[in-house]
Amino acid sequence: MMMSAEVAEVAAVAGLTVHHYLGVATILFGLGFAGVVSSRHLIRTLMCVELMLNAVNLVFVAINNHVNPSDLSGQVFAIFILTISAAEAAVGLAIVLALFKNTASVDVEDFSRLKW
Amino acid sequence: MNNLLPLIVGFPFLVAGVFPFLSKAEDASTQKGLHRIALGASLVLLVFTVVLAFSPEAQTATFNLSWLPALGINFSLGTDGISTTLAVLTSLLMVLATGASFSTIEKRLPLYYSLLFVLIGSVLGVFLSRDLFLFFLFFELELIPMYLLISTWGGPRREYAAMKFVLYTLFGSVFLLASIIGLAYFSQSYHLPTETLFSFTQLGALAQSGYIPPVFQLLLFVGFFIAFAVKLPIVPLHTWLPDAHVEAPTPISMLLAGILLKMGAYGLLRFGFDWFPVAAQALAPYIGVLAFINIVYTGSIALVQTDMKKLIAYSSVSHMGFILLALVAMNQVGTMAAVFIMVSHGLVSAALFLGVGTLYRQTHSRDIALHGGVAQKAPFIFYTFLLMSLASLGLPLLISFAGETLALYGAFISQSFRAIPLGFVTLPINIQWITGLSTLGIVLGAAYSLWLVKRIFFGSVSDACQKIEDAKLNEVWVLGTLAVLVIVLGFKPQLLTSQFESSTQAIGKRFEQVLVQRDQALLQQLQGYNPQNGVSQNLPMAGE
Amino acid sequence: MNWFSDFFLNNLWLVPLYPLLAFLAISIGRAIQVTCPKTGEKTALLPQIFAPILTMTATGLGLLHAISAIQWLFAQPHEAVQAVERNWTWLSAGNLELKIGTLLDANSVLMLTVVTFVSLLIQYYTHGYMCHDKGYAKFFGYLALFNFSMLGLVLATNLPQMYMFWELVGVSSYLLIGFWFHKPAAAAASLKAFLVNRVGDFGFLIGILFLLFFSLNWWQGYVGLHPEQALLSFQGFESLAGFLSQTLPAWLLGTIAILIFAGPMAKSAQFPLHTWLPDAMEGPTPISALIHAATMVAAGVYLIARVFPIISISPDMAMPFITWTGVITAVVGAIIAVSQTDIKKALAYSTMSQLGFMVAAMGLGAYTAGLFHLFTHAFFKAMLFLCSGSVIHACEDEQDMRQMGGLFKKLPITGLTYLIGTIAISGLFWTSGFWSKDEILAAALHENTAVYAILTATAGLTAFYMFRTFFMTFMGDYRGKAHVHHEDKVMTLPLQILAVPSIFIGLVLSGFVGLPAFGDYITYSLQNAPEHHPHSLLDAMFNQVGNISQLVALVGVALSSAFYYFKVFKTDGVKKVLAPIYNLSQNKFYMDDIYDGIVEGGVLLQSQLNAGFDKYVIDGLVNLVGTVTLLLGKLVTRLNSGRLQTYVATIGFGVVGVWLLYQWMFKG
Repeated sequence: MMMSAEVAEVAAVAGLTVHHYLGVATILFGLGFAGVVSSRHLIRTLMCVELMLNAVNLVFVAINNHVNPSDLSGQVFAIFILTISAAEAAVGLAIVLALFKNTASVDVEDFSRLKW
Repeated sequence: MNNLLPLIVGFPFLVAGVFPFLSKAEDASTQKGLHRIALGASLVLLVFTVVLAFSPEAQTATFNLSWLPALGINFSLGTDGISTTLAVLTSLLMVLATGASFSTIEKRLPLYYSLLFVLIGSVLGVFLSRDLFLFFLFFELELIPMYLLISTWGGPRREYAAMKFVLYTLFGSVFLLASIIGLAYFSQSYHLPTETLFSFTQLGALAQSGYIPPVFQLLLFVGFFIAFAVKLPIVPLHTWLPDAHVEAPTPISMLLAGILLKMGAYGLLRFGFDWFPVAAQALAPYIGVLAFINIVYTGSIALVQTDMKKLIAYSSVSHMGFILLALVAMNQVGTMAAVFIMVSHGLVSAALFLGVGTLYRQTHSRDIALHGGVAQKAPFIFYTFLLMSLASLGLPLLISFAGETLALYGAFISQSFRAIPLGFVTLPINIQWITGLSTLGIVLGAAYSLWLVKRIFFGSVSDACQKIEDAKLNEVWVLGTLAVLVIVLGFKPQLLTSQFESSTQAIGKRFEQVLVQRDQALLQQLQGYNPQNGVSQNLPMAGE
Repeated sequence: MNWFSDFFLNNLWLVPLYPLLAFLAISIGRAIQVTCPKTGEKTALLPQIFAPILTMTATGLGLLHAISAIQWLFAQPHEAVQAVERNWTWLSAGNLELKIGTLLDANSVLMLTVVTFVSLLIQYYTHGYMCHDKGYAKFFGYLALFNFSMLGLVLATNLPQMYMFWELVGVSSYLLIGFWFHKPAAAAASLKAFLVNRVGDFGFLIGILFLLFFSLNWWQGYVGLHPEQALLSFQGFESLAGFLSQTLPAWLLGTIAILIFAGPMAKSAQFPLHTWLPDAMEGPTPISALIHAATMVAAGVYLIARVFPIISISPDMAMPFITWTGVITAVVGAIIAVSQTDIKKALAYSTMSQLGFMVAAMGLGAYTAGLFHLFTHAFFKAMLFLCSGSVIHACEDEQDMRQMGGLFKKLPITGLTYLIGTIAISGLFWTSGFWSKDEILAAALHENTAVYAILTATAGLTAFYMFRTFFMTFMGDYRGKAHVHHEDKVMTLPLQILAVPSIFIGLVLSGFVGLPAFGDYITYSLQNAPEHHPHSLLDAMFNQVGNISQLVALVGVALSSAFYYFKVFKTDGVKKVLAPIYNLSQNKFYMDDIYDGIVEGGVLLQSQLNAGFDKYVIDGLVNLVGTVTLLLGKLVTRLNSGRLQTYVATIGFGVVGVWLLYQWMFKG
């Protein structure tokens, strides 16, 4: 397993700067956001949320390497988020299942009853 | 320290706390008992206030209890001639309203009386408190029982009326609170003692001292003015009153007209005009116009009402215009007239509402057109109502005459404004013009009062009034008491004026001083242009 | 007996107090019901019969005061009557001190005598007239209330006190006109009387305020010199007038005087505020005699006499205004009276016309002549009204003269006294009306020929219409259906008593029989007034004026008898020839219609507009604020769609938006 500093070296050799990572993260986040906003299928929405979370993870790791490679707090955060997102996915899928059982639908448009 | 004061304010709350535990049965004997307990309690309260009024300390009593020292809020009560007079009026009208309740209120009596005593307690608190925060507290507290009283025991549109009353007053309270906070802010910025931050003496002295910048004086005055203009009420903030009066049960109408309106007048006098005389005289032209509108405009509206209670409600607004006119006069006579009208209108309007209430109780209609010829059926109601109508239109030797005459006189000799500046143009209308035009109010007053008497009581007996009977015993003694007071105080108004003469004179003198200072400043300003400075030769002198 | 009359003289404050106590005793005593222990019936605490006793005792005591006051007056040299003023503080506020008191001088002695004397007779008459009415006791109570207010007015020392009792007199009149309030006409008449008077009082009050405004400091200095006097005390008016005429411009003086005159205009039924007086005849006849002929309506003239110094300093504005108001009133009243068929209405318009004479005299500066006419008129007009009451009583409440005729045989005393009154008011044969009216005419000739001509013609018209009423009522054949009763002794006694002064009082006080003339006492305080004709001049003109006016009156009588007694001429033809005037007369110069138009088209319409404005605009705005708040709330809730994706999109774009804004504001 490479240390974080070595990764930075490799990346530097490959000509990758922090901007590239951030660019990828932004694209990922945008894709996820677009998916969340536009998709009508609840499962796909959940998947897109995962995508956004991963984009955030990428940013954490990239910034951590860029700012202070000897510290691992960014990575720790990323692990945290992974854990939480796993839990969230489990709960989310459970809710979706329960919804499907009750309404025979996984269309987001059908669930707008939580209002005024 | 006077221990009677906390007793007067606390006793009603105590009684209010006891009532919910009394029997809620709705049979006749229980109800009679409840009525009598309430009457007894209010009589005790009356005795307390009368003892206070005739004690040597009537003008000077104080009571202080530290309450929230960190915030500078004290439970501080006190009296002067005006407060004592109004406190006696309040407790007297409470006795009479209780008497009127005997024949009008039949359901949920324990709750009714409990609320009534909370109402009276808070009104007494308003009149007697000497801490601005405490005043505000009582001023707001009074809304809750009033809301419930109207919305529970009122007429068909009671909820609309009660809600309107509360929202209107709260609208005014916003301005009141803003002004109170503003005053407290200035008090702190001048490093006045914080443990008595809200005390009347301290804030009053600060406000009158002129240390507050003029613009802020104006703003603070306007805040107080709007708050109490709603309560008084002053056109165009008056439309809650006809609705509230029409829907409220008779005893509540009596209290509403008799006392609650006086809270507005009291506040205007004490905080508005007395604390910010400079701002008041700056705005006097506009307030004078408002007073004229109040008197004549609402008087003319009263003329064409078809609903008896609404007619009397509008006539109340019209009479409040005379109070405003007397205040705008800003002299000793006017100040005295204002307090006098508070009392006289309190007694007369209460009696008028009760008179109408006795008819409403029997015909279940407030429509004037349905009534007719009642005088033949109910002579006692007729004679007392006639007496009160005559008093209301300002007949000499009845109570209102002295007040209205003093108001007109005070305003007519006043120097409070000589023109109405409107920004782009200055109207050459002085307070004498406004007063002369307001005198039209006495013609209108005669017209609507006596026309009402004619339509209800004269002529042949209408179908709706065939079964009308004369007043019941409780109404007889309530109306009788009021009639005696109206006549006695009308014959000898000095019985009343001696109670508050020194207090109003002190306030009036401060007003006159402010006007004199203003005129002197004006004179100096004009002399600045004088020949010595070589600018102008022919400038008119101030005071011409 | 000296201490006795001293007591009456020194305690004049008791004079209004007696009737007040009588009123209170009657109202309280009648209101409290007691149960008779034997029969168990409920009766009033005070038996009915005590009401007239109390009231008449009160008036009688007042008359004793008046008599001792007359003694006092005659005991003094008439050119130097020392007035006696006593005051008590009623209300003091700031720099204002209102006082109530009694003023004893020639004017008040005159009025005191008239009011108590005529009142007493009329109260006695009332006992006969109202004995079958169920409001008998109440009526006496009201009479006592009226006496209280009237005597307070008569004895008033200052203008504010005058105003107070002025209003009280108005309310007594209101109560008495509306005595039979179950009749709609009476109810309407009482309301009208009060409101018209209030309109006049509106001007009066502003006039008083003006006087106070301009003279307060001066008064306080003046009262400082005369500590027994009140603010605006009548005694100081002469000096006040001097002060005002130096300090104020003429137009302002005129305005103030005319504003004060607005009060008498309403109370003394001067054109155009006269319309309430004929309607006031809806009240019981004794009231018409007492209040609406002899005393209250004369109060206006009395007030003018009291404030005369203020009026006399405006000779170019207020005085002509007053003169011509009086002249127009005299003419209009006389013209309307000609076509009236209701006996009381005819007498009412005649009262209005005579009041016009008095007011015109005041305006001409003939101050004493006006008061003299007031004095004599009180007797004969009260008598005429009481006669009409006797007739109405006998004819079972018929008031239409077309339903009468030939009543002289049935009612000889009434007929005779009515004839005496008619002669007196026409100013014939040296009866009392002759002296007073001709004094006015003499003054008019001296001041203004046009006024003289018009008033003389009006005097002829007076004779015509008064004899018309006499002929229609008492002569010819009976035309009515009602059974005519005999006259009541209780009612004829006052008629006989009143007939004596109606005939002789003018002569006695004319100055021709050795006694001092009426005017000599009255003019005591008016050294500066423009009046005061030299007596020789007056006498010289007097014969001439008297002869002409008697001649004119005789022509009036002759015409009247030709039309209504001998029936030489037919009235129908004349009605056609004089159609325009006849229509005016028949329709009372359309004044009632004009006022109805003003009230309904002006005041009530404006009030309806105001009420609509209040309800729909002001309250509408208030309700609009409420409605708008609710609507806004509903609008905002719509944003909460429940759609997850909309929320997310809003958050996302919101973040981007905020970021862009941040960039634009702080970086760019």
